Amino acid sequence: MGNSISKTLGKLFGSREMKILMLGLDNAGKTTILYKLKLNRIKTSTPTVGFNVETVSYKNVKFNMWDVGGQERLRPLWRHYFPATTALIFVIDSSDTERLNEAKEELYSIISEKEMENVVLLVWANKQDLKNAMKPQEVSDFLQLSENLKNQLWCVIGSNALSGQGLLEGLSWISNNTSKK
Amino acid sequence: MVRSPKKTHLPVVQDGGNIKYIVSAEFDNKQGAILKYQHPRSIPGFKTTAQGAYTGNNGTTLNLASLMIPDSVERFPGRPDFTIFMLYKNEHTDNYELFPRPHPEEGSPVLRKTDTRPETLIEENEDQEGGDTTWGTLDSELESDKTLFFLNVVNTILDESNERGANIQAVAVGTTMRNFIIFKHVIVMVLHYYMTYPKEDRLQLLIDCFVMINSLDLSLLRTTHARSRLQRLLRSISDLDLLKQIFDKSKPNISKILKIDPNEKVDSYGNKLVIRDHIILQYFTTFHPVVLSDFMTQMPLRADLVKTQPIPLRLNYNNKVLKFLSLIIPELSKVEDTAFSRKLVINSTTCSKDLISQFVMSLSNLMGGFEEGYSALYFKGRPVLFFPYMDISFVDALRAHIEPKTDFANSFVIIGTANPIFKFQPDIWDFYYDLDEEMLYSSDQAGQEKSTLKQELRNGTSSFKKLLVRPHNSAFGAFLNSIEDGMNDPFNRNRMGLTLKFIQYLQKEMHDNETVSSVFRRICILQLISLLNIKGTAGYTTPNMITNSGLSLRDEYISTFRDFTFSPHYFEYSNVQTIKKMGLFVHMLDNLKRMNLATTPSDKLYTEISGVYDILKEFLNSICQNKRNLDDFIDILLNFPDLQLSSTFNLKKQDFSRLDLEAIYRENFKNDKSRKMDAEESFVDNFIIPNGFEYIAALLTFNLSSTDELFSPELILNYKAQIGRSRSIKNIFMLNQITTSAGFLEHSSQTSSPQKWSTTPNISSRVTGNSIVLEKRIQKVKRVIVKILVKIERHPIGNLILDKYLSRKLKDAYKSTRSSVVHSKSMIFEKPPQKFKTRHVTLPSSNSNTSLRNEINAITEHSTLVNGTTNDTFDDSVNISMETEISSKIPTSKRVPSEIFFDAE
Repeated sequence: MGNSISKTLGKLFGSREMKILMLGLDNAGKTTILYKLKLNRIKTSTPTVGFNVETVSYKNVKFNMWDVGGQERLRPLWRHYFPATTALIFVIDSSDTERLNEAKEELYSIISEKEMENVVLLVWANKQDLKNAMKPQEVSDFLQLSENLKNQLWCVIGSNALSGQGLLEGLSWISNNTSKK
Repeated sequence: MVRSPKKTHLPVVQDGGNIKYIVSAEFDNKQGAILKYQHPRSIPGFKTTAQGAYTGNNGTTLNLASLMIPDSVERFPGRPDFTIFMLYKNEHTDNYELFPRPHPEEGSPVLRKTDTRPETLIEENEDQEGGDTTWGTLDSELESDKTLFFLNVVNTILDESNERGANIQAVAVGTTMRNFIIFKHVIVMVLHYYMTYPKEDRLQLLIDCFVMINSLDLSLLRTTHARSRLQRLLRSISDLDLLKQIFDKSKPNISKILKIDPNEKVDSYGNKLVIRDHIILQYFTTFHPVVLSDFMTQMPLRADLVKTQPIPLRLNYNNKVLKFLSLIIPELSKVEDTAFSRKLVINSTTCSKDLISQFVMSLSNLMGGFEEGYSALYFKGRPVLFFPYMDISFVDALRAHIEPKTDFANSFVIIGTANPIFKFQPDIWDFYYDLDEEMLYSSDQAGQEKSTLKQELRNGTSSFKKLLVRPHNSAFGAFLNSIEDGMNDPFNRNRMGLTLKFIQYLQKEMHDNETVSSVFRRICILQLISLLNIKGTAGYTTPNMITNSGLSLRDEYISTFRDFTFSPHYFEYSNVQTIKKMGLFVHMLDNLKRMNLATTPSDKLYTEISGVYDILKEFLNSICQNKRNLDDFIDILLNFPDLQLSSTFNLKKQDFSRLDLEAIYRENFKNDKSRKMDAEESFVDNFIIPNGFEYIAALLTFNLSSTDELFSPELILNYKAQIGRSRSIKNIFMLNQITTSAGFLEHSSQTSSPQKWSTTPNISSRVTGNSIVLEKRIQKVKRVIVKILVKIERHPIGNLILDKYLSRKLKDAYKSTRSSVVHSKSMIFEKPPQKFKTRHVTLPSSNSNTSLRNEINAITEHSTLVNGTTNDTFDDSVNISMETEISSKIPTSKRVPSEIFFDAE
């Protein structure tokens, strides 16, 4: 009941709620991003066993953010998290150029799923603080999103989870591009 | 280290080691959860590969390690957590699998005549050696390698040398023992060492642990636990003092139970062993580790010889389990009969996996536990599938296992998880219980909402909101539900049944698990009596109940009361008969008590007493037949409730929501000389006082001058004055219902005079006001009672039970009569004469309730028949001639000191 009231009030005053799915290879920085957004601090780094889910509020939008572990054996399970997703955030370790192709393959594997064809895609080119990190544009070019995603909204933003750089811009982009949904 | 036990007098469960496997797993930073070691070999079906262990099932890939490294375990570094999982043996391949195969008896009649006992009456000596099977080792609680129970401990240790900052590792032991929880402290310590020892020592560490646990001879514990009827009896004793007495080493009872000298200092392997009350401590005296710390060997394995639950757990039912029951039971009552199988997901992201796993297993205990290595049979003989912990990687395999047209499509399925993403898989659940918020979500029973959800899940984002629409734990929600469904509900589906009512009291009074189970057993008997007392099919006045006529009694019980909990053994054929007879017996006592002896015609009194006599004779015959019957009989007496509730209310229809049972009982007992509520005890504690023995022995003090002192609490409760004034809108609504529904607050029709026992001969022509015949009959009743009590007394724990649960007055009466009866000539027979064989009938098994009632009637008819053909064996003149005849067949040497229990009458 209380839930319904808050939703009604939310509609009246323009607040929204959406499910965000954050994926990426292991050690890309997904959990660090999640807790930087949620707590504005760096949580002790441990690998994610399964998932984390937190609600992050930003500009009248409640982002229910699901961060799912990226190890090899966990990737086949990503599809179970697809239902009801509004936006996909794909996190890439911009400094791990050796695995960039692996990341690209995983990304295309996700967005080729029917359940994900209507979601907006944000790519965070993370770890921009590392000196050998690829620039967001380079990551974007590598991923060839402009060539392959004609019917889907997407964006690549450089980020640094430790400082928070690029994170709010990313949420803002999602918020602005899902307002009609 | 492989050893065979020394020759011993200990009973031994014929099984290999205490644990079959020890397995370790870890979270690999690149791959995820992987199995690391398996000892002594790979679990069949889970062979270790370079990457870990997998098994294919319905085309899906399953990773056993993901059950050992559960979701979110990294969030609580340094805090060990536990999961429980089972593997089921595929008997075709001999491999173990995560999902059970169909139960061999699925679909077969559940209420079957399991009684394969010989028809002859065989006196058994409880003190006799080698009587293990008579304690029920062949029963349902016997360990079986069909199911392996795994207890797993997992921990996260922060480690800067690890590139991801933490080590996450797990160790699990696999055993056929249902009491696997006793290994908990051992594996916690082993995991601690495993995570701190050098990598090269880890395998040896596991081997040490495996050898250490198997160095103990746990056969005493395992055999004692496998004796299902013994355990049922011990479980039924809620009095701790009595339990202490039973296991008191200075008394002979413990030796009779355990069949060993309780002062035994070592097990058959030479390990130190201590039995203290009902706790057994076993030390790892003979174990010498290779790498494991010697400290491990200092801690004994501690276990309770009393298996308090089918699967012993360390979880208090109060709060979480009872809260869950209070939410699920009302929802189950709305489920259509044809779809009475529900898929239930229980999720928590804040509770430990230990709690989630034990929560699910506790539900298994409340639904009857595991049978023969399989999950318990439930509605229509279908097994209930329990998955104490499951992660999302198993969801496809689960879906394939329970989808329509599979063997488990109509099974109850209960799954514990720690991932709310299960909520987004609405096709695999009917109810989703959020353990953190204590909220129960229901998918639409008609399927419409669910299909809408599926559609929305495919189309867009609003479905998640939809999933949150129907929580079922608010008063307002209940009110809305009652408005939606209540007024047009001919089955009274929104009523509060007896179980739900008692759950309120159990929650309020904060009782322990034993009391909770004790209450549920009594309610089961009460409701069973309520169900059985319908006289033939014509008794079904509600048209829709006709659809149930083909159901077995157990199915009809489950579908009628929908309590979630039930006690399967009360639905065994012989127990149903005993419960039915006990019900009649109590009503007859009530009839006797109400009689004014001064004005009641002798023939009426004679008929009534003869009815009682006949039932007592049936009891005696039954318990003389074998130990199984005696155990079951004592168990039923220990759990037999007072029948006020089933006599006063129609338990199938009564809504107890507005009744204050505590106040009703207190008020009624003020005027009842037989029974007083103990003011110091809570209502629930009073409810579970065992009165069965008082009922059986009640007529020991009976005389023709007065029935005032006869133990027989008033059967009808006066309760109308106790209906509380409603304050809530819901209750106002319910009041309106009362005025419009005949189903509410109606007296049970069974409160009228009880069915007469039809074996009673028509003696009106013989009794013409002469009280000598009557007196003689009363004496015969007393003799039978004494024989029953003697039989109970000779049970290994019977003397203590009688001492505890018989009133002083009845104990005195028993003692004064006992010697004369025991030494009477009519009790010297070890075996019945040939002609008595005809009295024991093998009735065909039946899976339908109607048939069962017919069979129960057939018993009655048969008794009548026997009476007819034998010229009334209860006639005194026949008794005399029979005694003479039988006496002549017994060698003189055997007459005097023999164990006696068959009554020539």
